[in-house]
Amino acid sequence: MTATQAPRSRFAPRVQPRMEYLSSQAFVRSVIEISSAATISGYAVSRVTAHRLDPTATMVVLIGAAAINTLLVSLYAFFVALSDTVDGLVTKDGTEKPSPDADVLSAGRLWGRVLGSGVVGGAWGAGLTFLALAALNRRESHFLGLFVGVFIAAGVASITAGLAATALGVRFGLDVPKAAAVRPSRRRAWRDLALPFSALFALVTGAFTVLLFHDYHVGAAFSRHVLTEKEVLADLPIQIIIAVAVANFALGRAGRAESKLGLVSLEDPERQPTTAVFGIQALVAVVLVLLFVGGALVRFLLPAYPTLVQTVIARSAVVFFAALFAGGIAYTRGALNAKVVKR
Amino acid sequence: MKRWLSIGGVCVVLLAFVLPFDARATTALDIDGETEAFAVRVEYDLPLPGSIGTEPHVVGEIRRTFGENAKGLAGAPTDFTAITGGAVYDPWSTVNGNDGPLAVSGNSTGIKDPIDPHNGLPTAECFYPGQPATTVSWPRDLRADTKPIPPTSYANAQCGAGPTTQLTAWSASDDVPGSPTGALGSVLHTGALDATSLLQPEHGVVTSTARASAHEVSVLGGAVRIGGVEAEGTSTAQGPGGADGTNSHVALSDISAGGQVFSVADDAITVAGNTFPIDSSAGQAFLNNVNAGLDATGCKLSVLGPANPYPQGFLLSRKPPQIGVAKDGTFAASMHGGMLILCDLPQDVTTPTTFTPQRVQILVGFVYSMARATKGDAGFGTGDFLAGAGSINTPSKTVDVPGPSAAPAPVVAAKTDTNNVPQTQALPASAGRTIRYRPLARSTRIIFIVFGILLLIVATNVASRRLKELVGS
Repeated sequence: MTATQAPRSRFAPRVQPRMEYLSSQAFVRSVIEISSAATISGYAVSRVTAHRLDPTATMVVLIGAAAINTLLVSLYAFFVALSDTVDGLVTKDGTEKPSPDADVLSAGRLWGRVLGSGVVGGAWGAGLTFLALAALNRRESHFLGLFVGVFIAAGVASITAGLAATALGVRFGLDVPKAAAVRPSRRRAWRDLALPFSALFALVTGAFTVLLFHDYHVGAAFSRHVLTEKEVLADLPIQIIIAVAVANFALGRAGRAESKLGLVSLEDPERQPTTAVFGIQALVAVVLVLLFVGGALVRFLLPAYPTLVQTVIARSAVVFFAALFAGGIAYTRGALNAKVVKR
Repeated sequence: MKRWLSIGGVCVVLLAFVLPFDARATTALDIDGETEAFAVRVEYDLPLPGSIGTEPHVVGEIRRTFGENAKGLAGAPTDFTAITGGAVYDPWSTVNGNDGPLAVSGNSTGIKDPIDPHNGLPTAECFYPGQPATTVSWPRDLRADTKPIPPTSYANAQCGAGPTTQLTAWSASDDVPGSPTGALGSVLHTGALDATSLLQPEHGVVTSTARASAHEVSVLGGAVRIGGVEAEGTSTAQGPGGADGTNSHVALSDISAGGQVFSVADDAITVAGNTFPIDSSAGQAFLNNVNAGLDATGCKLSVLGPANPYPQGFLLSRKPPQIGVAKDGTFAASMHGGMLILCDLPQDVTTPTTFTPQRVQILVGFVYSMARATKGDAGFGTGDFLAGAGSINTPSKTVDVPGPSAAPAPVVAAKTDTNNVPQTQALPASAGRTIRYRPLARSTRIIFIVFGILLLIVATNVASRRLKELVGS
């Protein structure tokens, strides 16, 4: 009879064979996708006055959620798996195949893979959407219908894409191909990863902004849902913190894993010391600067009654710069700290 | 056993996907809402009726069947009418027509007018989807050169998803000099007027409300004075099996006419602390006395009520509505009129104007509201897979709306007394209406299904190949 494990030890990182690791990641991803589908559906219907979405809006939500979820998941699932594998949390179990001799970490291949996943995810969501439109027959959809639709469209696509990206990350971590190139840390951090990542995150924020505010009145002064500067920037601190946290989570792990695999070189060792571990002060500074300087600038530029397009641009711009700065810093910090640990 | 469990699991997943989208499982109702209200409407007999205007005026409407739409109009005054429209639309038509250079004695001078001769209309309109909100400030929005003039009236109309229509109209006075209804001054004076209306489904109940009010109304230099006019109506409908209801009333306070001072509210007359129903013998005798006192002014008045026949020409800005309350919670509507004043205009009043109307009729206070929530067309349900494709296109749906006979509304005004204006236009009792819906065409649905399955096959194939390559068996 096995002793009952405490939740902390049950969910603590532990060494797992490859297939078990993939299974556990798929399970975790499923749980996340259920809550994600509930959140997206809830936001989508709550913003419509009668809590009913017309078929066109349903179509946009299903396809958009599938494509965007898949884009994000296929990126950070890869780096999480790579990081876990490099940290020794995944072991070979005889089911793995050798890595082809190709550099899957190159920017072109990495982002091409992410975009490809997004396209396939979007196609899956679109296919399901057409079936849903035929079933809806011009009727509006409510929360339960939308939730099931989003989970099957976005959730299944994301779980599948996440599983594929996880498997790729594990394979690369267990068997680094000879073609994997060493890259200078700054170029890798800012140009290869942080810049596209922040653009992707700005796209996510833009889509979420449309989801939040698509039913708001524009330019009206007397109504319940009015698009005002105050309204659209009310959650700015949360947006910045989420962007910084996600960027740190994904790209910090990327930097640590690539550095541990010896795939990162330092261009300027004098200014990139590896004598001590870097803390999160720089990331906190990013949050504060974006909040007080970036937020003030956006408030200055944004009209009192912005349009939906202006709102999307403003919110996406703030998140873009937050993710850009945080992503670059997080990658560099992960890479340098990994080298410190190696000593 | 394992195979049957797998098949069962697939069926459960498919049902979980299909059932929530099942058209028959949905609780969405088809909804309608209508409102109209105004405080004062003035019509001249020229001898053809040509209305000088309605002020303030709100007309709202919402619909939801397979989609949503809302529309509304708020005017202070509205520009519906011939005389108002003529004065505002075409101020210099006798000089230079609507467009083009100035003309003298019909000869073009080639000189363009220094300002745009087109006037902005004193009405705010909204549509959803399309034009969500409009605000008109009058006479600031009349023309470019009137921008600096302080506003004397205001109208705002907002239409949105839901669907929702919200209307507001306000005016400082009906006879502001220079305003489109300035000519009314010799016939009718009022103080501030305002009207509002809100139509929306809220917590599953379709609610239509409208309200209009006016203060210090004075007809023909004080022949009839009314201290305050309040017209208010609300209709609600929750849908089949739910609750519905409607109420409407017009209250006229501090009426001074024919040497009497009285008030009218809740279909009763209050005089010197005594209250009696309008259609009682005491009420009719009192109104006869009032009209006898008004003989010298050439005016007669009658009190209206929650009746569906009114002695107006076109009373509503829509076709004659159904009035009543359905027993099953699907429909409720009512309308209520205040007071009708009919005056033969004396020569000294009509001489200063450019037209000489012989008679004017003024309706003081009117409100109409309607709410409907009916079960929508069944559409395509899961059972239709079994029933065959023939049931995909549901042919039509009949909504039987109760006419006046289903919920008789009392006619309050007396039928034989001379104080009443003849009721020349009764609204006909209507039969049930048939509303046809057009679900997706069968070919469209087949294209959607085929295209959807193709996309799913392609995406699944690409994903499964990729997974097989990366994850293994």
